[in-house]
Formats: sequence, C-alpha cells, structure tokens
Amino acid sequence: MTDAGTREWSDLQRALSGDRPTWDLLVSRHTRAVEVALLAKGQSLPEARELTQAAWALLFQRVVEGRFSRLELPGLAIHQAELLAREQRRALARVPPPDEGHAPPTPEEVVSSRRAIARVRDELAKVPVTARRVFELLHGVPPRTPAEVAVELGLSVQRVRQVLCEVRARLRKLLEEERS
Amino acid sequence: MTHPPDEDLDAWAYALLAPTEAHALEKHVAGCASCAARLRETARLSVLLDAAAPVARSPVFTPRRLLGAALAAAALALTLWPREPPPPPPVQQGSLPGGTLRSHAQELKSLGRVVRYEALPDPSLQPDDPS
Repeated sequence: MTDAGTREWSDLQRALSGDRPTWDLLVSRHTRAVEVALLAKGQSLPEARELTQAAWALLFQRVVEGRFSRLELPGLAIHQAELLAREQRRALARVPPPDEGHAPPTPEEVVSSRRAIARVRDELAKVPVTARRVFELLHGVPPRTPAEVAVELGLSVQRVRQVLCEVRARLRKLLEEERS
Repeated sequence: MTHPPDEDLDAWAYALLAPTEAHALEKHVAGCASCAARLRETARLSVLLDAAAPVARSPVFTPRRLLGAALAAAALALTLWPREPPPPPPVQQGSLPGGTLRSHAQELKSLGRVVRYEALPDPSLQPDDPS
C-alpha cells in the first residue's frame, strides 16, 4: 500500500475509535466528494452542502455509539447523505414527484450510463501513462487528494490540475458528441 | 463574476480552488441556472470517472521511486555479499547402490542441500578372489 493509502487506513482506524480530530480531518478530506455525488444526483449546491453536513454529523454519532466495525469513506457518507435526501423528500411530499434526479433510472438510462462508463474507460486507456495514473489515484480506492497525487507521482499540484482539466475536457467533448 | 470556465468547475470538484475563488464560484452558481447545470454535469463526469477509473494497485516508477529501489537493492546486495569464500559442502558417504544414491541426491538437491557422495566398494559385489 502507498504512503497515502496507509495514512488513510490508519486515520480510518483512529476515527473509528471516536478520535474527533482525525474525524474532522477525514470530513474535510471527503466533503467535496460527497457534495459532488449529491450534485450529480440532481441536488442543488446549497442542498448538497446541507445534506453533507447532516450526514457527517449522523455518521460521527453512530461511530461514537460503536455501530460500525469499519469505515469506507467517502462511500459511507455519500450513502448516508442520499438516505437523508430521500427522507427529506418524503417529509416534503407524501408522494415524491418523479423528476430527473430522484426517479429510479429507466433501463435505457442504465444502458446509456454503462455505455458512458465504457467510453470514459476507453478514453482513459488512450491518455499518457502519467495522466492515466493521476485519474487512477484521484478516483481510486481510497481516493487521493490532488496534493497526494502530486507527491506520489513527483509532479506539482499545478501540473496535476492541468492534467485533469485537459483530460476532463476531452471526456466532456466525447460525451457531448455521443449525446448529440 | 463572469461565467466560470469548465477548468474552474473541474478544479472546484477536486477542491483545488482557493477558498475565496471557491466562494465566488459558488455564489455565482447559486444565481445562474446555466452554470448550476454545468456544475451538475461536472459532478456527473466525476461520478462517471469514479466508476470508470481502474483501481490503482501497481506502483508507478517515478524517478524518486526508482532511486529508492536502486538504493534498497544496493543495500541488500552489500548485506548478502560474501566476505569469505563459502566453505566446501560437507561430504556425505553412502554405500547404497548407484540408482538409490542418485535419486536420494536429487531429492536432497531439490530441498536445497548440496550433497556429494563417494561410492564405497560393496563387498557383496566384489568379484571372487581367484586365489
């Protein structure tokens, strides 16, 4: 396991034992990923932010109660925030309105998203090794921060930012072409 | 603030913007429907990448890692390098017939032990003394 991976693992163990400073560190590390996941599900930015904070608070309470034997972040926080979003919708309307972000995906949408994943994977296979490695680490398990990726690959953070913007621009264009 | 470019939206998704820049972007997005939609698309791309990016397992060979590996290999070689010539392997003597000796030697060799046999004359196989 890499240094960043080992650190993340030991942080998770400390957080699991109820260590508040380590928990806060993990929260600041994974908050943006949770917000991004909620945005992708159709929440607005203020909603995503509120749900993320509520999810962290609830998770910490459960950690202190000893309800978890292991922590997988940010996955657990994303799941918790999605459950909270669902509860919130139920509270607002007895029958939730079927809209784009909240309705279960149709078979066509499932096929389409599988195709999109395959296209993204194919495109990532074509980019230079270092750029591919940047994405493997940023979106890997556990996900690394851009600063950790920079250290691990011997690049500057600015270079990591440049690489990810370039590749994401390519992917964005590809997916737009596919949609049109 | 003008509409933020895609690069800034991407940087926001990875928490790469400075707090003041992030705050300005969020403030703009809160009041701009088209940028809110663009930010949602940015988030969807991130989720797609989570699903598509292969899990990183194998190490990558950066100059720093190569140097570290070379130093570790040199240290190991120095530790294992013999300072005196190794003593000759002990001689074991056996008196079993040749075929059994060979198979036994192969078995020991497969266990990593060096064995050298010297055949001893077998009295039962000696020709009769004509005198």
